[in-house]
Amino acid sequence: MSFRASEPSALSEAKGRNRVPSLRSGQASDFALRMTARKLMIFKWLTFIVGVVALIFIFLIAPIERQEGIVQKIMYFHIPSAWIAFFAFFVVFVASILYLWKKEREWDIIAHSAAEVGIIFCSLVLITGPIWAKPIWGVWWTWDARLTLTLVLWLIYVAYLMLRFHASEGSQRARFAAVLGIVGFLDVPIVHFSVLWWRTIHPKPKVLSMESPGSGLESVMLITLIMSLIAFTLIFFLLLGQRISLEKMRDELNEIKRRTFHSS
Amino acid sequence: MKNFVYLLAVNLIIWIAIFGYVYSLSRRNKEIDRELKALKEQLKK
Repeated sequence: MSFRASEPSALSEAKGRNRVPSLRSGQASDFALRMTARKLMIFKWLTFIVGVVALIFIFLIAPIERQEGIVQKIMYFHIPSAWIAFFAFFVVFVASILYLWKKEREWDIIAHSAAEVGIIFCSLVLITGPIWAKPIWGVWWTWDARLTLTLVLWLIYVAYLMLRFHASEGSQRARFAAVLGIVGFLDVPIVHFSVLWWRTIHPKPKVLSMESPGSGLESVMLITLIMSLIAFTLIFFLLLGQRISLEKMRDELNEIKRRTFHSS
Repeated sequence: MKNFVYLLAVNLIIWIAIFGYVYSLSRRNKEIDRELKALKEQLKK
C-alpha cells in the first residue's frame, strides 16, 4: 500500500503533451513535491508512534475500572471515534458553507472527503457502542435517545454520500450536497445534548462535564483518553489528506481527458 | 480478565476498519494511475 503526495511525473507529462497549464511546473514544483512527500512521511511516522503509545497506555498503563472491569477500556476507542466523527461532520458543515459562499471546488472536495472519513468513524461508534453495551447493559442495542440519534446521524451522512454518488457531476450536485451537509450537522449537538435533555441509559458526559471537566475520570484514565484522542485525530487528518489528494488527482485527470478529447 | 474478548473485538474492528479504508484509498489511487498510463499511451500514438 503506497500513497503519493500527487502524481508528478505522469500528470505533468500528460499535461505537457496537451499544453494544459500545469498547477506545479518546473524545478520549484519538484522541490515542493519532495518537501510535501517528506512532510507526509514524518506525519505518518508521528501517527504510528502516537498510535503505539496510545495502545500501550490503553492495554498496559490505564487501570482496570472497579465496576465495569476490563470492558470499560472500550471507552478509549469509542469516545475518540465519536469525537472524530463529530469533528469530521463539523468540517463538512464549515466546508459546505464556504462552498456555497465562494463557489470554489476546493471546499466541495474537502466536504466530500470529510463526510466519507466521518462515516467510517461514525460506523465505528455504532459498532463499538453495542459491543460495550452487551456486557454492561445486557443488550446489544436499545432505542435510547442517544443511540437512535447517532444512528440518524449516520443515516444522514450515508444519504449525503449516496446523493453525491448518484447525482450527475456538476455544481448542482455540489450545491445540494452542501445544503445536506449543513442541515445534517444540526443533529450533532442534538446527539451530544440528548443525554442531558432526555432520560437515557447512556452515561452522561464525564470528560466534557460543564460543572467540572474531567472530574469523572482518574488522571491516568484521562491521560490515556487524551492520548487515544490525539492518535485518532492524527489518523483522521492522515486519511482526510489522502482522500482530498485522491479527489484532486481525479479532477486533474478528468480535466486532462476533457481537454485531450476536446482538442482532438 | 472477564469480558476481555469484547475489548479485543473492538480493537480488531477499529484497525480492520482503518486499514480497510486505507486499502480502499490505495486501490482508487492505483485506478487513477492506470487511467493515467492508458492516457499517456493514447497520447504517444
